[in-house]
Amino acid sequence: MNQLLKIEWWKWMAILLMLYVLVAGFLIPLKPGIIEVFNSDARVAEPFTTEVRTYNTRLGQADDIRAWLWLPGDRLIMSKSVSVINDTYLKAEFDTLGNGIDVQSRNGLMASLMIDNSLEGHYFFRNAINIKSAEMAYMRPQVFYGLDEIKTRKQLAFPFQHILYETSRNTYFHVAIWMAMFALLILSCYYSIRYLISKKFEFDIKASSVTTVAIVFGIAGLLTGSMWAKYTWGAFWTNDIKLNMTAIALLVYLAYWILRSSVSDPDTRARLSSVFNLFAFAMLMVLVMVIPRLTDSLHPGNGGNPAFSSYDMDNTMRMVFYPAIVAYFLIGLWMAQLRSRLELISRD
Amino acid sequence: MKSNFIYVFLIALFFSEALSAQALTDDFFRNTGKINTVLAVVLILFTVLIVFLIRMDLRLKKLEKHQKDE
Amino acid sequence: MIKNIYYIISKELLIERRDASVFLSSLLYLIAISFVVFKIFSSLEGPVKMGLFWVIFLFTCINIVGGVFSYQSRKRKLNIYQLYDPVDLFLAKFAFSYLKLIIAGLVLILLQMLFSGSALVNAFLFGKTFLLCALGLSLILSLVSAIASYSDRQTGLVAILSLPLVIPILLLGMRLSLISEGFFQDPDSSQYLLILSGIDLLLLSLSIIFIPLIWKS
Repeated sequence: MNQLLKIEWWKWMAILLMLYVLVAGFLIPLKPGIIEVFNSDARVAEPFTTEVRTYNTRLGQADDIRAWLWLPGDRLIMSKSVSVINDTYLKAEFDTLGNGIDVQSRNGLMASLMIDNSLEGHYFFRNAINIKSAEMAYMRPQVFYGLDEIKTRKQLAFPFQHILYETSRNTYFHVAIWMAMFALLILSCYYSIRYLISKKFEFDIKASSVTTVAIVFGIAGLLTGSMWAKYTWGAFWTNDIKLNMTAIALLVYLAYWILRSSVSDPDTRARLSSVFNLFAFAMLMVLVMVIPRLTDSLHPGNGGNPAFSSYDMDNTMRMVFYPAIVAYFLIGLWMAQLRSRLELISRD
Repeated sequence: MKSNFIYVFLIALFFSEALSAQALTDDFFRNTGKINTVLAVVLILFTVLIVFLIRMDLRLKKLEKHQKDE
Repeated sequence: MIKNIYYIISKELLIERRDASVFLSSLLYLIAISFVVFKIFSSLEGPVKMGLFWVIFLFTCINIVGGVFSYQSRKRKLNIYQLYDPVDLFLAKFAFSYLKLIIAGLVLILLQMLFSGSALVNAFLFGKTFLLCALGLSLILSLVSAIASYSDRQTGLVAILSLPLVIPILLLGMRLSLISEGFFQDPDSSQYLLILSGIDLLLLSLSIIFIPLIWKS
């Protein structure tokens, strides 16, 4: 036991944070959501019925379920009746859609489908239904409700993401490790600078071990990323920029490795690899800034993909995501420290 | 020698897992909200970290042997 | 400093003239490889034309600039380093290789016009792009060549070290040359040119900082 207490405090922090990330990342449930809306064609002056498949819901236990059509301008149309088939499947019937919906374009009006009840709060499917204009004149006015009518419930849960579903948990295992990789690369630049100033071997060894761990993290990021991509975007490798950027970073640092192994004089090796490390990092930064201007990404923020934007990452996710980055960074530091100690011993 | 065996075993485990996933068509990774994809991601992560540890272990062993010889 | 650089360049020119076969062989390499590539693709249309231009140009650059610092014997190296300031030497060598790259690029673009049978759409923009990209490429390759010249195995190392680093420059060059060929509806070339010049400036300052650090031995 006394032996265990001898390791540095930040290693304990790494262990605890990692445990926290694993437990919280797996145990906190996903918010309820809608997977599929089976009928997406509605028309003014006609009644509308659809079946809805939901996820993570307990529809059988809720007794005040209502379905809503959510129109632009936050106008809501309430359903006439909702029949629950099982916990995750229901059928919603709407009255004849009346006047006042004012479908402007020929393509129709996109409306979201929302379900709410007092047990689970509300959840919706964005732009699920397309409302077309009436084929004949119809005079009954439509009754609209406001958003304040909707029941909400505060709960500790991750946001439900369409198509991603549970895989949004991968944020803590894939995105975080990528971030930790970049943090480690910055650290290795710091050590390289320290080496160039002080010419102490230990800094060079530290820089190279940190870089090695960053490469390991990069490989892990690529493998996990392609796994995730396969089951959300349908292919192991895509033309996505963040993926390709990681691949380029890996190429650069593998080249760094080759450079180190092809210089036999330790002094020259340390000098050259430190300079190359700094130079490569500068070029990587340039790459990170340049590429997003040139291509569209499957990743957050670009092109309306089913991934996260800053809007989608809510506080519950941040509560796990930021500790995850720190956890991976500290574990990487630990790995690098072991490696550099090993190198130092084998040098003597 | 023993560590080498573990190394090979882990890699085999990983690949057999990946292959069986292929054989089960899409369902294994897509059912219950794709939770198994998360599982696969975590497994890959652990495999990579463990391979790193094992490699370092091997190097340390070599060093110890070297020291004993002296 | 300028005087020093000028002196080294004239010296380089002298050496080059005495042994012209090195540069000529690079040019021959360029001609041969573009002939091979154009024969493989048989018709040059659309983005392929520009893509091939940059790929061939990149490999020619590695061929020409990659050996700038390494084709000297150790003894000669020591001799030179005692005589000149490393930054002067680097700038002179870089400027000289930049000149060579411009010549190679001109040859390549003429060849391409010959094979594809069509002139450049916006030669002015393409020229600007080419000059800026060649500047960046020759800076990166000179620096990497200086690093590689200290390693035990030099062949191939320059290519491995520099290929991932030149990607941003090549991507910008590709985008700009596509704009110059009229492939984009809404061309905003000035932004990209600005980024490209920024990168060149950054590279120049980085190499001036790093070169003395590499040298010391």
